[in-house]
Amino acid sequence: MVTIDKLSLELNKCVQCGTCTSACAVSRATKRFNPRLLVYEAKKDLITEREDIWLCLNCHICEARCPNLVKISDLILDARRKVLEKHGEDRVLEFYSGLVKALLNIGVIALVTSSRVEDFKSESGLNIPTLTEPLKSELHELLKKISLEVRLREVMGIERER
Amino acid sequence: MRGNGDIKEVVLYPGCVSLNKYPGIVKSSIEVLKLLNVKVRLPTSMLCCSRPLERLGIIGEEHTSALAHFNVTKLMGDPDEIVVVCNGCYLAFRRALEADDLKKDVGLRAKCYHIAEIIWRNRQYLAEKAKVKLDKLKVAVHVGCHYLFYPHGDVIKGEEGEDILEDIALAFNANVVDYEERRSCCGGTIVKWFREVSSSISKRKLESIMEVGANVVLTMCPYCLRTFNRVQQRLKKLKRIESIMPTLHVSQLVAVALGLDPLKVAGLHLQVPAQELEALLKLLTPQPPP
Repeated sequence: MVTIDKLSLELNKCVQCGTCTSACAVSRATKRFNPRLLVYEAKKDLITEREDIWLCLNCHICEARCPNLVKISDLILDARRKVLEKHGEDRVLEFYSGLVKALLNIGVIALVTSSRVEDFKSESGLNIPTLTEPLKSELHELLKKISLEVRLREVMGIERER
Repeated sequence: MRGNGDIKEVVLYPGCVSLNKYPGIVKSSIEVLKLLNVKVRLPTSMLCCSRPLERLGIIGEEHTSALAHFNVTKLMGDPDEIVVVCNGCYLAFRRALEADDLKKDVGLRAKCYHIAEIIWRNRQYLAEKAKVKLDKLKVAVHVGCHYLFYPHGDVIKGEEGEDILEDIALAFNANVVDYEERRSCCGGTIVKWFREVSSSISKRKLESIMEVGANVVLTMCPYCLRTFNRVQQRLKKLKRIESIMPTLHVSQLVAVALGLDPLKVAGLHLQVPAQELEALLKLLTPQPPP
């Protein structure tokens, strides 16, 4: 994975040709987003100041089209992580804390919301159990070990519910 | 090449969106694998691949890999082969399982395949078993970015057609229509926060599909499928479109072509509105005996 810290070589590969921007679906939909400009800002170490990093679809078409194979999607993801670590973007956290809570407490982030789906799953033998308590504890230990629980607490400001 | 090898038994990792929103994708995948004489197991419990959190920047690649390790060792019984039905799960598991820290350092041996890769590899064999004709379908394929632009290695490119899904559709004699926005994103990953920008991207894609007269969208990603459905439902509510273009996962299209029940197996009633489903089913006619 490419990170901004290790990115000087990566950034120097960029010749600001703008192929990424011309391929980008978001750039076509709104003038607020320009991946070429984000790489330029990264070179000046200013990318984490940019609001538009949150508009990236993470679709990787910019990387697929880039003539110099610059890891643009990775760069933007790394900027998001750094912003969340430093500032704790309240709006981001508010939007996504539900996903994190669901992952920690139930194990999945998309839940059944329709009785027809529930019935279909039952009839098809697809009622895969959620994590058992021993497995949850084991997962909890793992999350601690890889500092994910700490990371989620820092970033999302939430505790795991038992 | 991806998808080769003699696969006898797999763990099918169903993924959150497919399992809990469109379970017909999971059921269809199981039935297609069974027809290929592959023994299918499911995980003993469900734990998300966590890729949606990673692409938001909330967690890092190292965390996704650790959860993949937990999934494979604790919930799947350390299998040789894992089959996924979602491009996001594919990225999460394949990247983790091919990385040195899990493969060499931890010694995990599992390989990760997308169900589309298994179908692609066996497309001629499966097409010979088809009981339903797909020749009235005009298919617009949408592979989905996290397979089409998979950033960590090679994926299957088209042989007879432009991509993996076109090859499969062509094998079953469906008509594949090309469209301008074929390789663009569904727009779904930013929908929670930037709803208008996201909708505008999805709408542009769907308009491009409608312009060429397609009557079905074929994808291999449940998340993209959900995006197309959500956007169309919204546009229909606003009276900006009259009907919803049915979107099918590749496992569902193949299951239907093999003569499996479009409702009881493919679960199409859970994702295509009644009127549109009736019109779609009318396009499917029995294959004459050889």
